[in-house]
Formats: sequence, structure tokens, C-alpha cells
Amino acid sequence: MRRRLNLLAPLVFALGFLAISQQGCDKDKLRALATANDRVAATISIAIDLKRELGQQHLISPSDELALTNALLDVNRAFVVINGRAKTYTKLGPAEKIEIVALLNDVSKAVQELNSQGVLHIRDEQAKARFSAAVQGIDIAVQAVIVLVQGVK
Amino acid sequence: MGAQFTADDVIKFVPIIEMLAKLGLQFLQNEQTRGGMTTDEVFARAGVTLDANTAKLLDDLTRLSPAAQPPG
Repeated sequence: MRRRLNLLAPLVFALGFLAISQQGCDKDKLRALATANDRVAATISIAIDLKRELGQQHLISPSDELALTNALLDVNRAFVVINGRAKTYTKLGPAEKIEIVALLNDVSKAVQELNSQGVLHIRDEQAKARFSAAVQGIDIAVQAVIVLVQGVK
Repeated sequence: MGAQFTADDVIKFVPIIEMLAKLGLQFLQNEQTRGGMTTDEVFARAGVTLDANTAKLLDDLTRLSPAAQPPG
């Protein structure tokens, strides 16, 4: 497990750096939020495709795939709310920050559920490792949104 | 001394590396196409992807529901 974390560390660092580097001028913050949202949506999409692939290869059981589907639906649903609100903003200021941070709590909880109710139940070690990497990707993308929004003053 | 990896260890990591490569490729493709978009268009694209995700997941729920499973 420690070695696996060692492999993921450079990716975490690189995406973290990207998130921090997005915090430029105020006028760019809304653009950065849109970009970060787009990345979250793309990582969820990758996880869905992988889940389907693992199911088709019978590396996960239908009941495991059903659990992952429900957990991914919760993550996606929570992020639909964030993106829906964010696209109505004309700026990313303190008021918007409070709203997005509150909504991000729901996303973080849903990602934790995806790990505890979904990933940990996968019996096949290879399938678990692959899906865990995909969930890690979602988590990193969500963390990038959190870093960005918390940088708003 | 650093950690020593056996051939078995490396084989175990191949699917993870494959997954990370896929994520990286998708990331780069997104970065390239997003360059010429306005902020509204980027929000809209995220919305389209999220809606497509919802549709795929609802399809999967229907396919995986107990009623859709073959008996036995």
C-alpha cells in the first residue's frame, strides 16, 4: 500500500501545483473554477467507463458494480449542483466561496462513500487497484476545486 | 537504500500505471480543447459531461437492478 501511495504521490503533487497555479488574478478565478469543474466531470466519466469495463470483464460482480454505480451517481449528482450554481456566478467572491464550500462538503462525503462502500468491497486486487486509482483521480480533481475556492478572499 | 521492486511488484503496478496514463491523456486532451473556449463554454461543457455521466449511470442502474438479472 505504501508503495502504491508512493506511485500516486507525483500525480497528487503535479495536480496540486496546477490547482495552486490557477489562483492568479481575481478575473481569472471564475475561469479557473470552470476549468476545475470540467476536470472533475471528466474524471467521473473515466471512472464510469472503467467500472463498466471491469463489469464486462467479470472482474467485479454485478452487486459490486451496482454499489459503485450508486456511489458514483451520488458523487456526480452532488457535483451537478455545484456546476449548476457556479455557472450563474458573475464573479468568485466571498459570498460565492461560502456557498461552494458548503456544497463541496457533500461532494467530499460522496467520494468518501465511494471509497468505503464501493472500492473496499471489490475482491479482485487488480480491479480494486485500478478503480482505486480512478477514485483517486476524482478526489484530486475535487481537492483542486477546494484549494481554488479556499484561496478566494 | 531505496525500496527494491521484484518483477511481481512491477506486474502488479501495470494496471495502476495504465489507469494513471489514461487519466493523464484525458487531462491533456481536455487542456488542449479548453484553450479556445470562453468561461461560459467551459461551464457548459462540464455540465454536458455531468449530464452524460448521469445518463450512463441511470442506464447502468437499470441494467444492474435485480429485476434485470437473469434468474439463478
